[in-house]
Amino acid sequence: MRFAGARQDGLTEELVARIDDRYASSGLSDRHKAVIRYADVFLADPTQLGDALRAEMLRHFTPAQIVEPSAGLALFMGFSKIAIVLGQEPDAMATTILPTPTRPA
Amino acid sequence: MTWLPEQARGATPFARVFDLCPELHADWAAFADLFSTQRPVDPALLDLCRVRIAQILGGDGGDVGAGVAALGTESIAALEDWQLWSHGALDQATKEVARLRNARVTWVPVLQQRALRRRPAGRVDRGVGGAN
Repeated sequence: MRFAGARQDGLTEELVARIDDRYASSGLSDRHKAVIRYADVFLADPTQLGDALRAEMLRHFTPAQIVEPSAGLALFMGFSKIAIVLGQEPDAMATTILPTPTRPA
Repeated sequence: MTWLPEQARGATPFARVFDLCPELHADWAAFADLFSTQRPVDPALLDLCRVRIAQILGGDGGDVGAGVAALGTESIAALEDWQLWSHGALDQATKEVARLRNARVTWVPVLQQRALRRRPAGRVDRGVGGAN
């Protein structure tokens, strides 16, 4: 699943294909690598966020820009878990582009 | 103490960080508020889950909501007990959620939800359902 807003802002399948366990040596930008590293720590063990990654994040993002993906990660992680723990995760699914959620009018 | 070099004004450490994005914070608060205003599930049960998540993640649970506070500190302390199933301070529904720990799937809702198997899932379903 991809959000349409991300697509419009340049998220390509070629970019997505670089996001696996070898992303650190991929052609992703340093900014992308930093936020993926941050996502990994956020998901696996947030107590292990070290000085090096903190400094790396601050090199690429303002404090407010760090709060935004932090909230996004919490949202995506939590709601992904709903899909898995309640058995809603499909066995297979073609890449699907969905409208980016918007605030109700 | 946050490692971010800037903080906003706010009553709590969380608010001082989250208010760096005030609109995001407001929207989150509105969403979180639904759980206390619409009360889809017993707020005390939800807050016990939140405290449990904080314990697993290495925190102390922070502020305890009014619902949990009404249950008393004994219920909160009981979450740390490996023998939750026999603990008298927790009601059946809460035990069903907390019992996942004894089933060696402690982190199921937090980290390893793929490990949730039919049997404990059924117990949680019955326990939470029985609370409503």
